[in-house]
Amino acid sequence: MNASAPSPDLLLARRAAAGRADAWDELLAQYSERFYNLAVHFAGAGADAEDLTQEICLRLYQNLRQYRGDVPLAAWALRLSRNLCIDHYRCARREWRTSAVSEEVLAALPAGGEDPQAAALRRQQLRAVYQALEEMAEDAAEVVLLRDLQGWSLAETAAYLDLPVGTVKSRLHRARLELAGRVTSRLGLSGANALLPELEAEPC
Amino acid sequence: MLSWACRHFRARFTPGAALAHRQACPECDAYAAALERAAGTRLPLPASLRRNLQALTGPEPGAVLAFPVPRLAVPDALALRLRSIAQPGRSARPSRPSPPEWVRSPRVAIAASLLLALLFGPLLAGAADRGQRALRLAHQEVAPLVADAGAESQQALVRLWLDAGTVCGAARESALNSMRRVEGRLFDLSARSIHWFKAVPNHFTNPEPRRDAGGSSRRSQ
Repeated sequence: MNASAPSPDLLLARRAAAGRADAWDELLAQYSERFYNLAVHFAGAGADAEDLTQEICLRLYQNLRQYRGDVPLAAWALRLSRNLCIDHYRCARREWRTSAVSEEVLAALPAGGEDPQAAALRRQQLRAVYQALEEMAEDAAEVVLLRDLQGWSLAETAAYLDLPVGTVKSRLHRARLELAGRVTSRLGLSGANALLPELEAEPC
Repeated sequence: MLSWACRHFRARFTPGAALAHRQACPECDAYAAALERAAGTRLPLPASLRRNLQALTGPEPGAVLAFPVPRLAVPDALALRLRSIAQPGRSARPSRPSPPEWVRSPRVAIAASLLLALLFGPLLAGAADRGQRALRLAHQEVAPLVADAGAESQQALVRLWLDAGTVCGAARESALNSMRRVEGRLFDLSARSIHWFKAVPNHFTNPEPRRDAGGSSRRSQ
């Protein structure tokens, strides 16, 4: 039967766990960029992010045999990395290393056409969002970071946080509203409206 | 005059429906296109095209940013480090073996205990019998030795008691002899001392020595 056939994720995980280098390379090709970007957001750019990425991948490799294929491999792998990310995030927050968005991220921002003013506005908005996230509670900041800044799907975010999708939705909505308030106080009403155009239309 | 197939197509056609006759007949295709334009139908996009378009348009409505945050590429040095985690031929850490079923399930544990009791019961019972027999044998062998040892020790005690009594009597006799000798010497000494007292004159003695002391004369002054 088709239902009992192992998923491609499970096959890939089994092959990598068996020591097949090609499977591990394939797995890295699929997920290492996500791990790295996650690490950049949690630990700041540079050597810390690289170390965190390596720790995440090492933990993934050591636990591959425990993957059962009941959830997508991406969500499972990202859930494995959560404790490591939180530890680095708290450490970096204590040392004030993540008070602003990474310069590498800012440099990679799309220019927004030929208008340099638009590019500057984007950088300013992104900085404001990160600074506002810095002031928010961890669980609220985390859900916005994953969903809006990392671009994860709701299912992946829910799997990572180990929460139902509905809870993630409600938490995300509250976090966005709080973020809107904080960004408004930073950029003024016009800047916040440009940044968060849909929030006022959404029901509470 | 329309053919039967064209009439049948036009009767069944609704905007958005994909019927094979449309590709075969240009007139019916034009008819269907005109109907669709008139109805303003939004035809469903293929899923892959929809995803690509969504990626182009950026984040979902309500997201905190109207533009996507760029993704950084993994540095080459880090990519090499990550690849080296899985060395060829080395498998990931084996998962910890789960405990056996009889440890996890109390029912199985009870059944396993009963089975073990049934299997090892006769062996253990035989061992107990053999142990009891060995104890009896040891008692038979050891009891006479213990009794003999008891008799010998009693005789030794009696001998020790007699020896102690003899030594004690000798010591008592010796002490009595010594006391008798001391008594005789004291008697002789007292008899001689009477003669010595008689030889001393009466004026050599002072019957009231306190009256003649210097302290009493001073007090009387």
